Parts: sequence; structure tokens; C-alpha cells
Amino acid sequence: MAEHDKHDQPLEEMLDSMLSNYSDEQPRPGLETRVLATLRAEASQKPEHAPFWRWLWSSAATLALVAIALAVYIGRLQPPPAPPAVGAMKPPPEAAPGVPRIHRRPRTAGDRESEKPERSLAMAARQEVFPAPVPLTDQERLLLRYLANTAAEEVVAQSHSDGPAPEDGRPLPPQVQEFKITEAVSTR
Amino acid sequence: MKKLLQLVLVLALVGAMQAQDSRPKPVVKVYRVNFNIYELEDGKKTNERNYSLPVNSMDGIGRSGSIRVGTRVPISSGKDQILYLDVGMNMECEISEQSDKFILTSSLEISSFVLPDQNADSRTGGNPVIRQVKQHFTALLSPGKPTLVTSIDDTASKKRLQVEATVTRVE
Repeated sequence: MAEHDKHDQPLEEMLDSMLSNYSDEQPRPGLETRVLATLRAEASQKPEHAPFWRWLWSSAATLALVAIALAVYIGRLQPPPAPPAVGAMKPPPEAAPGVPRIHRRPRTAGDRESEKPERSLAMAARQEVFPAPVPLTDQERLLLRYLANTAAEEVVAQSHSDGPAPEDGRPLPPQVQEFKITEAVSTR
Repeated sequence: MKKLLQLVLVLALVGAMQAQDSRPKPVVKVYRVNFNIYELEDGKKTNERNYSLPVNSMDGIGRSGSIRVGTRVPISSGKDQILYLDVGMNMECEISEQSDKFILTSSLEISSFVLPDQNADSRTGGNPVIRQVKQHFTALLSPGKPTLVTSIDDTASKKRLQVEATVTRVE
């Protein structure tokens, strides 16, 4: 054990001397100044990038706030749906003279069934006259004026029968039947 | 010789009768045709009429059925002649079959007075003025399925006339 210590003593002395030199090593002069200068330089560089991101985020947040505020404002501007006026129901107005009234019957389960999308042609309103009367056209007014101011013989002389039916289709049944006055018989 | 002729005649008659009896009986099929006629204005149905009639076919050949609804209006056409105008709805149709579908061939004529009270209105000069729609069409229909067969826009208004047809076979 003592021999071992004898062998290690020079090594330890050498280490002690080297460490004593190492611990005495001082930083180069001006370290503090350099550190402070570096910090100042970084501090002066940061403001160049920070405003861009800061402004971007702040602009986006402001826009979002404005959008929300507008949505709320517009939503408040629209009036709420009026409650159903149960007691204020009035009978339908009378139709003008000459205009056929539309008769509506109460809806039944059959009607609701027929209103399904598969039934493309649901029940329509049924008026008294079919086709429903429509105002006179200009041509019809002219024709009526001609008839009112022209003798019946002249109208007969000017009139002519319909042209032949198209060859591609079956001709329609004759619309007009002729009777001599002496043989005229009413079928109604 | 005379008796021989009589015998030949009798045999010929008997043969003809047998041939008549052996003919297959004609196959008659009966169909029901429903027409729904609509008036539309701005795309909405504002008026309608429905007509239904049975028609038949014999050995696959359609036989015509018809409906006439309306007024026969007498009008003078000369010194001693009078005409009767049918004002209202005249329809003819026939049905034949093609595989599992029906072929509907139909003629439709809808007419109305321009002036509703045409007899009392002096503007007509005693001659009624008639509005008229005529159409002749052929359509292929599935059994029992309502099908829009024609759609006609009025030339003097925003109205549209549509015809929907349904054909079912009557067993």
C-alpha cells in the first residue's frame, strides 16, 4: 500500500501543478464588453422582425372581431317572425266580376300523398271555367271590331274553312257539321 | 246431276261453317285512360280538368274511344245553311301494346269563347270568336304511371297547357 502511494506521488504532483495553472487562467480582457455588445446587437435586431408578425396577428384578430360584431348587428336588425294571427283571419276577398273564383277544398291525407315528389303533377286548383278566361289580345280586338262593323254576308263571303290536316298525323274529327235550316235539329 | 249439285252445295256450306267455328276468337283487351289537363301560369298550376274513358283493342289493334264535352253553337253560314260548332273539349284516343308498355295515340281539341258572354256582346256581330288548341300525339306509357305527354305554351299569355295521361289495363 505504501509502495503504491510512492508510485502515485509524482503523478499527483504533476496533476496538481497543471490544475493550479489551469485554475489561474483568466478570460481575455474585454469579455464583459463583448457580451454586452452582443446583447445590444440582438436587442437592436429583434424589433425589425417582431412588428411584422405582431401586426399580422393583430390585424387578423381585429378583422375577426369586426366580422363577429357585424354578424351580431345584422342579426339584431332583422325583425323576428310575426306570430300567427289566429284571431285576425279574414275571409278571402270577393273576386272581381267576370273573374272566376278559385275553389279550394280542404286538404286531405290523399292530397298530402299526392304532393310527394314522385307525383310530378299534383292536384291543381279547379276553376269554374276551363280554360280560364284571359283578356283580349290586340288581334282579337281587331277581329271583334271587324265583325261588329261588317255585314254578316260579307263575313261569310270572306271566311273559309280550315286547311287540310297534316299528312303525317291522323286528321282530327270534323269540328263543324252542316245542316240545312229546314233540317236543323238540336242535339241538346 | 241435280242431286249431286245439291250435295256439293250442302257439303260446301257445312265446310264453311266448320271453318268459321274453328277461327280463333278475337282477343279483346280493355284499358282505362285518364287524362289530367292542367293550366299553368308562371310555373304554378292554376286550373285543371280530369277525363277518364275506357277504350279497347281487338287482336292488338286499338279501337278509338272519344269524349266530347261542351256546347254546340249554331252559326249561320249562308242563306239557308246553319253550322254547329263544338265549343269545349273533344278528345279521341286509342291504345295498343308494345312489349310491357302502352302506345297512346290521341287527338285533343280544347276551345273556348273569346268573350264569355258572346251572345249578349254586340261586338261579335252574331259570330262567336273562338280560341282553340288542337293537338295530335303518340306517346309510350308505362302501365299505371302518370306521364306528362304534352306541354303547350299559349301564344298570347304566360299560360301553359299540360296534358298528363295514365293508362291501366282493365282485367
